[in-house]
Amino acid sequence: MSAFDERRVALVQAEGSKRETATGYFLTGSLVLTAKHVGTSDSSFEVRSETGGAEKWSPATVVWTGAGNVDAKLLRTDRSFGDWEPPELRPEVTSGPWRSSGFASIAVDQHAGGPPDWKTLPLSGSLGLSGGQGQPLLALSLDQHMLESRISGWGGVSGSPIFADGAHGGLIGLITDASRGLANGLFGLPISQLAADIGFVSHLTPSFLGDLPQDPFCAVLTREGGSADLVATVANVLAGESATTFAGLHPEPVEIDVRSALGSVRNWVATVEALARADYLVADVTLFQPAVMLLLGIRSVLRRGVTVSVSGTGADPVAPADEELPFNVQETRLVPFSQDSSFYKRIHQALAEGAASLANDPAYLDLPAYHAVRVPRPESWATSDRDNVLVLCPYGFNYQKTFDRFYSMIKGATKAEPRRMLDLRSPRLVGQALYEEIRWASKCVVDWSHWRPNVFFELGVRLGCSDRDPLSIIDVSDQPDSADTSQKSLLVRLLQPVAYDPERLHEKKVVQLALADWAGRLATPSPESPPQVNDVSTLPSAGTFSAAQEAYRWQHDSALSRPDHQHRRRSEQILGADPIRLPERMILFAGNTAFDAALSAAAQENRIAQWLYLRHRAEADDPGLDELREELMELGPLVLEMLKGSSEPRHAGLRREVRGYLRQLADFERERTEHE
Amino acid sequence: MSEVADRLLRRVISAKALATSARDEEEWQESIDILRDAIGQARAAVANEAASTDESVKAALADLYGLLGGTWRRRGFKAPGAERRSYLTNSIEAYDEGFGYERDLEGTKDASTYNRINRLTGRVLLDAGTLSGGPHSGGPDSGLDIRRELVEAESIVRTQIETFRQRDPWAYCDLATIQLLAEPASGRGLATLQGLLRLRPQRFVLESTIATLEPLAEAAAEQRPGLVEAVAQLRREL
Repeated sequence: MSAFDERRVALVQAEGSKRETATGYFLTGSLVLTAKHVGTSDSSFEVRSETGGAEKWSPATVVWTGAGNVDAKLLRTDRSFGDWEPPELRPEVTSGPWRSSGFASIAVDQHAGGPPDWKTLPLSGSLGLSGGQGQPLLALSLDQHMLESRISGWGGVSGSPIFADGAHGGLIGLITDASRGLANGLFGLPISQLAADIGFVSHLTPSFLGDLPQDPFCAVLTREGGSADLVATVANVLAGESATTFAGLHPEPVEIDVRSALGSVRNWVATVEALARADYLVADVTLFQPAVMLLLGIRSVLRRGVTVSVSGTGADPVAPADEELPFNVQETRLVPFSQDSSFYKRIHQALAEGAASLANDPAYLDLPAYHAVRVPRPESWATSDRDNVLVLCPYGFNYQKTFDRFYSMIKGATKAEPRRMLDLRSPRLVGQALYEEIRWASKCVVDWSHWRPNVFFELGVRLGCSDRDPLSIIDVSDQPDSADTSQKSLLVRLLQPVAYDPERLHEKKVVQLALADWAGRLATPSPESPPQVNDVSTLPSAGTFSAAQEAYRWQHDSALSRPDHQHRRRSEQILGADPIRLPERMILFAGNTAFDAALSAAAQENRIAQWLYLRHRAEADDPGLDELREELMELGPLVLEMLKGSSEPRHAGLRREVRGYLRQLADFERERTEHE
Repeated sequence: MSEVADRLLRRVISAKALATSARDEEEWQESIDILRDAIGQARAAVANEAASTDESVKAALADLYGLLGGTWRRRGFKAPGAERRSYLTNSIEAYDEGFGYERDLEGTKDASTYNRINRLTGRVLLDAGTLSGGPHSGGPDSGLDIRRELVEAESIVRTQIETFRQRDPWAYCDLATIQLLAEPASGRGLATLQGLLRLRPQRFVLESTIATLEPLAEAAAEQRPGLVEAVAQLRREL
């Protein structure tokens, strides 16, 4: 039973280009469901609950937004207002009596000279499903009647929950709009559209990771059968260096147990989020277990670093022979695990050096793929994509026969040429070309047979960077039996590869049928809709991509870096951050006099560009004006230093401008200090 | 590096540029005030937990004191008699302060020998007799054994050049200065200058090295004739 609870009705205020008031409902103590159209992308939110003791307001952030025209969003309040379980979602209820309560503007209690009191207006009535074109809506008839002249008085009820009225109760939708023609009519969004969305459901049910820390944190990806000592050692490193190297980092590492990560769709989504958010990841790659490799592939799409791979935990060897190393990790440094203090030092050094390099070097990578999957689509993509299917599969004599049999089958179903990594024709380095293809290929088949680590890393990359799921297949002899509870079995349950018998491929039509079905779905993509959750243990279509897109820390994306920061970085790459103290040349062949002169000129131009951009911002009365002034005060002397001695008229003019501006800023600061 | 330290270092770099510019225009007091203000901020940061352990902040402090010492020195060269001596003494005090921070950084990526060398050259400028092992004629820490300090400094810079400062032009300038002061024979010092030139240093490095060696040559030409030759060689490269 899940009845409507008046205490969980929340007043939502959005502050942005315009101020709006609406209704929300606490699904948990800190998670508020409201309508998407409340506020804009630049709005800040505050939520009020009457149950919050003396402090009734809390800032809130948007944690999920409905896709397309799904008019719903979730806000998370900074503090919890109660120990509430999510209500039961009842998508099957589309008719009958309903009840709710909302902050309709008609119910505002006005005081002379004081702020108004927002009061809730109890709402009830009956509902039915409104079909026709577009997504279905709940048509709500109200017991309450609004005067026709006051129809705008419904303003504020958007986001009110719609509960089934009766013994069973349950959340069946939320109010999104008022009827234009009926004084007692409202419209609502059916809960079915939210219950089917992997992102929405993920927020409602707790994952094995619990709430991830809000501070920067380190995650430890542990393997099946690994040693608990790895997590303990990483915890010791973080604690031991918390005052210096890892200042500001959450003191406890977050363990991602690989089997738990595969245990349910919710856990999978939480794992993808953790991989996206973890500032550091220590991964146990001993034996290159498939699920660990898969998660590393996803991590390599989401973060440039810092990721450290550890090998040799438990009783297993530190590292296999070179020829057994998966192609994708051959260039990755493996830190050998040991029980002594040397491992502590090695892991500390790897994490600290990785972080320093990540901060200073835009090209830094500790896993492959991050840059390659961000390369623009090739010019020839339109034709090559139509004519080809990417096949990620094992290599070797034993598999070649299977592939030969598949070849015509895939070609027949897709009308396109199957291509493996070794068939790619791009002149790029093999790894680069592969990841680029993994990102852009519309059609991709992945053969899990032999459980090759390479293939699982590549599959992880594909799931993370493409919303077109590949068709997964597996040799029936490699499929774990149904009683198995190992990661392999969990992976099969989560991603549902199609099993085939290589000796009876043409006799049994399983793969042909799967290929035809998959190719058909690719040819007629469904309109934009969130991945549908059908089963708690099987990942919906594009589920990983959707989770990755939600969790991606876009704030780190280089495309967003400020133009003046880019110019500063370029200048510092040439001359260093402090060229007077450290005049050592870092650019290769800078001892060539002509090149050196050109480099100095380039550094100069970048500083000028940095100055001009900041000036433009300052003149435009940027909201961060104080900070801009400070930056200009710092930059001005560097520009003057760099232009010193130049006889170019434009440089002389700029020197005058910089000096004049610095004087103005100094006067401004002086006046402000005197005023204070 | 912490965010506090990063922000501070940017301010310090800017202050150094501003102070250098004022110094070049012989606006001595303005330059000194800018440096003292930056030193105050950096010392406050060192006293503050957030940046106290950051080596780069200590390196910045050492550098600021070095620049302050250099400004006092240049001011001294332009001043007459007693005033000159007073400014040169201020200069040595600034280098001594900087040396305090510099010493903590030995063996780190931020290691430098600028203050270590200039606290010695400053004393030579006050009294060239110290090169012959004679007693110090006033100035701070008059008991300092310049010749022994030069030997120790040479060993340190040599080790640094063999390792992480192999392409740092300042290390070669420091080593050449030490070698030219340490012995009457000029061979080793001039060879080190050749090493510096092979790095193709930027012009301001050569100008700064000349600015260090030239007054020393004037003060100690008799005991150390190689100084004159070194200045002439560097001038030819400008």
